[in-house]
Amino acid sequence: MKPILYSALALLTAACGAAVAERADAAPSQSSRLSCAIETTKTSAGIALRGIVRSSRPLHGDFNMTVTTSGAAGSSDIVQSGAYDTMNGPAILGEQELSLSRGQRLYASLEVRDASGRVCRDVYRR
Amino acid sequence: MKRLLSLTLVAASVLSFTVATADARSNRTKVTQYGYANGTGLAQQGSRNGAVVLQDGAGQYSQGVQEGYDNFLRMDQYGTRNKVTTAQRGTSNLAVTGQTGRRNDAATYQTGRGNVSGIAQIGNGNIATADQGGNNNTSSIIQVGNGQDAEIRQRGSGNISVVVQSGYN
Repeated sequence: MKPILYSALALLTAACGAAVAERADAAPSQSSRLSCAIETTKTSAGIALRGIVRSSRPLHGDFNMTVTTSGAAGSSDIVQSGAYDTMNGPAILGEQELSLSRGQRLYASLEVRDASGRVCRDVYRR
Repeated sequence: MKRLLSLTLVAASVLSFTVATADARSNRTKVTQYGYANGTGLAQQGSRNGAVVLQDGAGQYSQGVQEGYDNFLRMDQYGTRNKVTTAQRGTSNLAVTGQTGRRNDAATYQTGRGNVSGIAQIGNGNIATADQGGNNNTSSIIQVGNGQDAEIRQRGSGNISVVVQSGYN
């Protein structure tokens, strides 16, 4: 009787584990359908920023990217917006290269919206 | 001769930038500022637009707006308190402005497709305005000296205007 009980318990545990694993898998795939980021690279003059959107399935929507710098050398405000799609993989939304002097502050924000209204945001400060 | 060379280099860099962005869908900007108290404002909406701003000196201000596709602008300023405004709406428009001196003011407005504008000002207190609407219009304003004023307004297709002025007012 005992081995049968153990087997039943093992089966039950395995079934529950499988269910939990499935749910755990489902959650990231839901959230990974739309991800966005501001990627930065150092350049000889200062910094290059790139807004990028990734999705696990082809999506389309629109975006808004703003970059603001301020400091002794002056200030700059850049706004880039438009439509995107990820039919061919990750989409580069906007690229900015800025000179930065000592003490110059930079704030960049990216907001990406897909057709269903889901929003992804990223912010970069320096 | 040196200035002609500089303008040629600017034109060449414009072409190379355009080629470099030909396959990209994103808008691109490059802002370089040296000196102090300079200001830049850029807004781009659409795809494959490109903007390059270079300001060297003090109190320079540049403003650029582009809406549509494949538009490109370049604004270079050297000196003090110069101002450039460029606004382009449509497709494949190109505007290049270069200023050196003090308190020069240049403005370019283009709407449509395939319009090209070039403004070069050397001196102080010069004002240049190019306003084009339609397709494939071309305008060029070159002013050397002080206190010059030039304005070009073109509507329609395939118009060409060139203004070259020098002197002191």
